[in-house]
Amino acid sequence: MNLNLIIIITTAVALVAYLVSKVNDKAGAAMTVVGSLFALIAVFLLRDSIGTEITLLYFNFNLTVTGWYFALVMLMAYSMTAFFNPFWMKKLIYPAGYNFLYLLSMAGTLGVFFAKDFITLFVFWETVVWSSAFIIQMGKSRQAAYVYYVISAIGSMATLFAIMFAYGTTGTFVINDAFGGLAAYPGRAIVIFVTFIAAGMAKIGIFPFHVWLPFAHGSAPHTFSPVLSGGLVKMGAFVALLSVTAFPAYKIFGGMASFRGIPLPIYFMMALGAISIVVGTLMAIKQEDAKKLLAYSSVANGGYILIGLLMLDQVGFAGGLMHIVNHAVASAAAFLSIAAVAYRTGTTKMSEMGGMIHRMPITYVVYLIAIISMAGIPPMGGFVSKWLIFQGLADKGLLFIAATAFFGSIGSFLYVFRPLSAVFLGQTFTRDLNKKEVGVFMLFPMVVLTLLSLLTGIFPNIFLRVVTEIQTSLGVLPVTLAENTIVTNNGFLDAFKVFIVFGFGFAIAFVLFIARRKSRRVELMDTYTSAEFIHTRELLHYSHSFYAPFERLYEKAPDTMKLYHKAAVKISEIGNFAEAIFFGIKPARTVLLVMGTVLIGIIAGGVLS
Amino acid sequence: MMFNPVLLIAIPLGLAFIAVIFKKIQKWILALGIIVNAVLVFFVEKGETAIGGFKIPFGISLVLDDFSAAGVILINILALAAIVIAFKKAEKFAPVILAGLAGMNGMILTGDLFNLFVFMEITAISAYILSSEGRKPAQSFNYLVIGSVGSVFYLLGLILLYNQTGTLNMVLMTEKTGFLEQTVLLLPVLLIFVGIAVEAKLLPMAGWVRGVLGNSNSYTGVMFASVYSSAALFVFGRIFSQVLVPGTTVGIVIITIALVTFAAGQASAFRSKSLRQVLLYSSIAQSGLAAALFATGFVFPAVLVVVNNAIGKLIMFSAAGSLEEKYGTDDYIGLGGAFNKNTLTGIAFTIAALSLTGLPLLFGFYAKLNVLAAYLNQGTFFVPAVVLLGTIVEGAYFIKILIKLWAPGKEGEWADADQSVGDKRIFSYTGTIAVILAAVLVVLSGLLPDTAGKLIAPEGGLLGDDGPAISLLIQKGGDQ
Amino acid sequence: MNAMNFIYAFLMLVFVFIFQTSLTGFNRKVTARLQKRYGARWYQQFLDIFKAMRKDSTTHGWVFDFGVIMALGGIMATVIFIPVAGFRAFPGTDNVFVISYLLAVGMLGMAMSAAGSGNPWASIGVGRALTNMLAYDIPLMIVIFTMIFAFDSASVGELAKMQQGMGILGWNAFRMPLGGIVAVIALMGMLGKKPFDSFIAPAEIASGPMVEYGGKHLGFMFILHEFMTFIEVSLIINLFFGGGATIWEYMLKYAVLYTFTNIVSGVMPRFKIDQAVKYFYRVPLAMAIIQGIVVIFTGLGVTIWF
Repeated sequence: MNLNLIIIITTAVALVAYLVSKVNDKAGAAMTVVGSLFALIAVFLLRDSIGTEITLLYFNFNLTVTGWYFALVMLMAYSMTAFFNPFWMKKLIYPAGYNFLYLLSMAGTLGVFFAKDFITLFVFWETVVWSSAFIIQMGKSRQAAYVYYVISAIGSMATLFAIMFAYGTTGTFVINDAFGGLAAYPGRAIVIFVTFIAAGMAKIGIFPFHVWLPFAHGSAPHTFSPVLSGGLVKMGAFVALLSVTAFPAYKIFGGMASFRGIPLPIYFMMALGAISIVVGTLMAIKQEDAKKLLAYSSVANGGYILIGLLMLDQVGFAGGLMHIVNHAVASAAAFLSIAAVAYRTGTTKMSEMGGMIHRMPITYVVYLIAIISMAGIPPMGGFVSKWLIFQGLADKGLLFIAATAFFGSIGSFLYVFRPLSAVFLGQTFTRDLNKKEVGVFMLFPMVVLTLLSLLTGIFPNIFLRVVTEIQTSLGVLPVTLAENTIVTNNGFLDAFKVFIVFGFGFAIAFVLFIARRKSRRVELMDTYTSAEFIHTRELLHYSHSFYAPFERLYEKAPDTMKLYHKAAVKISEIGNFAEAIFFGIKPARTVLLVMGTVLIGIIAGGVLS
Repeated sequence: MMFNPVLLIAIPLGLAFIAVIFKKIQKWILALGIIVNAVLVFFVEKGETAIGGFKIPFGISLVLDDFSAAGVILINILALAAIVIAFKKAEKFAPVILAGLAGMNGMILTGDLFNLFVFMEITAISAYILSSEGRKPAQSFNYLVIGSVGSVFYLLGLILLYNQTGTLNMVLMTEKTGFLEQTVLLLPVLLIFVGIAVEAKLLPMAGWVRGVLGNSNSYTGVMFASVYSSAALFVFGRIFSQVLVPGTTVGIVIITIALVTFAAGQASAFRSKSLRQVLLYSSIAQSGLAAALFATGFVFPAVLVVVNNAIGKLIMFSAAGSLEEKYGTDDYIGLGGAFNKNTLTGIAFTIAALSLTGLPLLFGFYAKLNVLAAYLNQGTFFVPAVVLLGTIVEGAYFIKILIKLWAPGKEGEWADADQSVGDKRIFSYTGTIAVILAAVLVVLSGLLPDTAGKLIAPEGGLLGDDGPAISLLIQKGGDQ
Repeated sequence: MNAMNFIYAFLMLVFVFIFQTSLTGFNRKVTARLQKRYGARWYQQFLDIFKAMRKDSTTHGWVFDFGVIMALGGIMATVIFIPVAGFRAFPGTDNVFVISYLLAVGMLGMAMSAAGSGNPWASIGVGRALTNMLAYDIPLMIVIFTMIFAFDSASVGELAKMQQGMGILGWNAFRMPLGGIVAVIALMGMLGKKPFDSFIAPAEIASGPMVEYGGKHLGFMFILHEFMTFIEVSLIINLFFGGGATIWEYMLKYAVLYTFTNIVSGVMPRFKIDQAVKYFYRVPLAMAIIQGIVVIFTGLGVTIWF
């Protein structure tokens, strides 16, 4: 079993899924589950082939441990989400197309992570872009697919420019050689660095390219949002990683002006990441729709990942890599639980739901653990990766970026708590009083992701050992691990001990609780209401404009989307102008223009020669 | 068994006259002529052929090298595909089409500049008549006037050149103009440029395109955008890459005009609401790009762009014309969900659109790579940046169209098949097959670019340029 | 880790409970004297807690109970991590980030159970509490970040030890004066003392987050509040006031600081929540950033400056 076979088989299963879906769409969706699980297991077993190279048609692959790590994260997101596919087929306009594109985009991501040369990288990257664009359009918003594609295209074309420019300078497409050869051309190197990382930034959703994320993740079919948020943005992280590792950014820019040891071009990118954290957090706090909120949280977390990766040091880099796993798992779990709720209630608007915990307790626990991890609270995995990033920032003394990182971290408590309180807690709406928990088939992936979150938090070193392998293979000093502890310059962390003590405290509290008298169970509407009589459940539920006082403080903030609108309008205006001048129906004017052109040509020719 | 290339011109021309006489069996004559040409084109002798027994350079010669071979194969096969898709529309114009085909083959094959003028006129006249099908006399008249002005300019330029060099043969002209100074050549070259720019859809001569192509049906649209356009561009390529290679001054003027065309075309397409208008502006933009490439001397990438555009527009214009006919509207916002029951056509259309944008795994990507490599190898960044910016715009408007045609539905609600405009079949059975075959060709040549490159340019470069060096590099992943 | 560690941890919890609750009772007297009353007995707080634990209570479901247990459990775990005068129940676990984020567990548990009660007043209160947290935490974390950078250590115990043995001027509050001021202001925000107590806002909303708690739930919340106070004040003592070489020194400093904040808040009005956010993001944030710039770029504050 090698990579070629995996890609070919996955594509074949995609085609089969298409054909089967024409007959029975649930069966076709089941094929996506089979296909993605197959890919997950097969790639996991490729562990021993790491270090080999392989070719398919004109694509060249290089099985690196970095690519293996990223691919597993991506496949985990795809395979767990696939379990939800059969239940959503009837909502989709093209179920067969959806199943086909689902697996095709998955195969595309495999190609991206294992690419040896730029052409392979770009081909598979674009395949993922258009196949996911066509899935997004099946959801709630056509405009979302359009914005997604356009911003992605801006990034991709910039990257294509960088690739061809690097080719023109060094004469090769092989990633390591082409980038390595740029050391001799520092001027060009800056241009190539900025344009190359553009695609990655557009994909992760870093300011100012973040506008597509809430649109696309928020409006995509519910079963594709977890993949988009947990998986596809990590492709951008991969490009960002390449642009500091394969591209010897620190070496090439070493002689340039730097801020606390970080060369200015790289610091500029980190600053954009920091701005994304702030923007993502603030926008997430405002949202009324659960999926848009989680999408903005992906923007913020993308900023963390970018900052971690760009630090390229012992600790921060490890933090960035680990956050990729943690965020993917947590985000996918959160989106899946919202999808499960949407399956039962038909909506994701938080003001239209409430008290779902009483009907769907397991989904609630999944969501709870996911947000504990996203907010970076021990003992979940999100804390470990954020801890590593903070330690890295403290080591270097990057004050302003650290300030935004803390802001994002605390701010995340606000926005992750909101769906918890608005959707799951509070009063249960009358309409939902009889809803049931979702079936086993949907619960299984959510529980798996929850267990993974716990695992990364209690035993982070399992994943960090792979991270150290990645660091060594990229020439970075690996983070120091000792049994259960992570050792850094500023201190060390024993996640297992934290968990044990947490358990100990919990045990004492629990004993204390049950030692006292049993409480009397009362109904949910039976609360203190200052002697008012309230009979409508929906009115007793606080969910709309949850953080109103805080939101008022930044109500008037400018909207980046307006910038893109203005650009589009400008292009239309140029088109209008061209059309008015050149494409009228007056032959006389055309002849005049022609004579004018010839005249100008002659004058220009005379002047130039 | 190899045939004389003059047959490619003579057969359609002769059949055109017969079709005038035997009106009743016009359509069979048309079919016969096109099929014979399409088959014959693979069995013609390469090299220079003299006509009428006169020795070259005293007589007219036909030149069949790799470049013109690519050209004639392309237009004859495309003409065949066009009538397969929309035979009913074509049958009324049988003589005109056959004459036009003869003219186009002649344009590409000829080795004499005045002969070129003659064939250009024949082609132009057939084009004017074909454009009248759209029932918009003002537009056709506009086209007629612009075309005539162009021809006059061409002739004027040719006379000036003949005066200077004393020959009309292309090969000899190449030699002789090498000795003339740039300032002397400036005026004639500009005049000739204007003449060819009409058909090649370069601003400012492209004023007719909106009216004519905007009112075309599924047959005439394909003919204008794919067949006539490709022929004109091949002629442009022959003249400006080989015969009258522009020096720096003239070159800058021509390339600037071509790039402005490219940018203006993309911008105009972006704002258009009508499907045919978007496609025609996109064609203008692609022509501008090809012209710029030809004028810089990058012949192989230019040919790739022309081929890509031709096949893509074949699929897209026929679909657009058919949609307009079936639903009465060209506004793509009003045509939401038209692909709902036309999955195969929709897929072919999608492949064509994505190939024009240059998405990988499709032929257009290979073309784009060659274009970028040619410039970046040379060290120019401005043109590639312009090309890529134009690609973003192109991708934007094509994706908008694709999304609209595939997924109808109100914003804020799931895509709903009930909101689609209708479920009429866009093409007949044979039409769908033809379109699918074209799409398959695009995909295959995208997956095996090396093979495609060798088919177009068996000996490496075309007209002496570097050729597909990059495709070998892609094959090995750039690992030399 | 062995059984001794757990026994130490348990003893620590008991000690903290007794110490802090007595101090709270004492401060009730101080506040009363400010208001020209006699005030309750110093052990009144103990009586209140035990009375609450003995009474019956109602519950609105398993989340209501679970949140309370999780909150107290998390906070107790955090208390175990605090180093007191060099004593640590579990060595090597006093990383400042661990402590500040485990505090959030308490907040989250309380928020969960409050919202799970079904009473919207509770949710409003929780929303305000979280906003309040966003306000005070940023300037504080910036100052702590500066300290970690300056002293190359994120361990609370070590940072405390580094300030000892150099006299009063060795305290970080004097070495990084701006940071010290920010820390004390942030402390008042953390403790929920006026002017930053709008999320409890006793006279405003019927009862804020505590509205549905009764009996043992309320008792748990009181205990939670005591432990949280201890953690927060301890953090500031250890980080800015030199910790304590001996337990008595520690307890003395602790009592002084806590009483000081109490006295200051006794004469303050109350900010609205958005006013609190605006307040923290003006002067305290500016001070914290200036402090950070000074330390990181000039190195002043790392050594005693005279």
